[in-house]
Amino acid sequence: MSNNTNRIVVLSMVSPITPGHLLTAARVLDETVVLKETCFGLLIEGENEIVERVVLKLKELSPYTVFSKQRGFAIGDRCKCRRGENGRISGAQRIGFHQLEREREMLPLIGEAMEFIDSSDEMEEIKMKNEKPTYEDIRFLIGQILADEYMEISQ
Amino acid sequence: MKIFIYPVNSLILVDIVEHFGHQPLTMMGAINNEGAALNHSNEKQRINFEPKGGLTYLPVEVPSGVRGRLSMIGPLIEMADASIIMEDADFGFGCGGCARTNEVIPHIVMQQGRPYIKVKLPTDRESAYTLVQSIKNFLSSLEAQL
Repeated sequence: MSNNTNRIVVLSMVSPITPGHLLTAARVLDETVVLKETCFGLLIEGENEIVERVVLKLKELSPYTVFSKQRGFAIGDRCKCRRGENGRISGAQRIGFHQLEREREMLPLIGEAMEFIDSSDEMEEIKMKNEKPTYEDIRFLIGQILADEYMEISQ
Repeated sequence: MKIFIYPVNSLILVDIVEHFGHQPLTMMGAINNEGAALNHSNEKQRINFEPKGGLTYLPVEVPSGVRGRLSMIGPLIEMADASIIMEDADFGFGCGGCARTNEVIPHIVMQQGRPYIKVKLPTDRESAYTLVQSIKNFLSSLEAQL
């Protein structure tokens, strides 16, 4: 069992950040990983703990529009990569393209649902507190109400 | 907890399970553990597994693609504490190897006798909310049982 792992980071179509931003943010962390920018996000290869740390930091950039999963094959592996010998591009859509394309269409919905569920959990915690609400609690609640009204108006 | 997901390489299910603090069991993880992730040079000896492991679940008449895939996916199902099955994933298509294996996997999961949940592919905002909330409730109930 190897200590190294590969992860693919995919950006949702409504993400405010770009694959270039992801690459820059990952480079700034200065960890011992191999990075490859793609049109949909980033590929990261390295030791298990380091890769998980990097992915967590990248998710903090935009928590509900950055998704990741394990990848299994090395970066540049001939089975997966379009780059042929002598650097020329070969092959059409590679293995896994259609599934990734299909799932990427659903990522905005999933991100929105996760954000809504997480925020409703925070509201429940505030309601369950027996203490007097603090200024921060009230400010958070007002922000939620305004955000909901804004979403209704914008629809 | 270890959660087996079906389709075994779904980005959405992996991210949701990890978001709620559990470990998803995926095909990519199984391949990674076989060392294929680092084996650039020797293409013929990438993944060293025994195809006959798939015969644990199915008879010998099945196509070899089904046997090979099940020899990697079967151990994941056995290791899992619970499973999440997405029933109508339209990207789970393929030839006789992948599609037939995909048809068999939910039945093998149900035979294991461990907790599982069936969810539907999200098509709009409400179904996405239902998907995430139902997975969250399922994982919370597993934690409560421990």
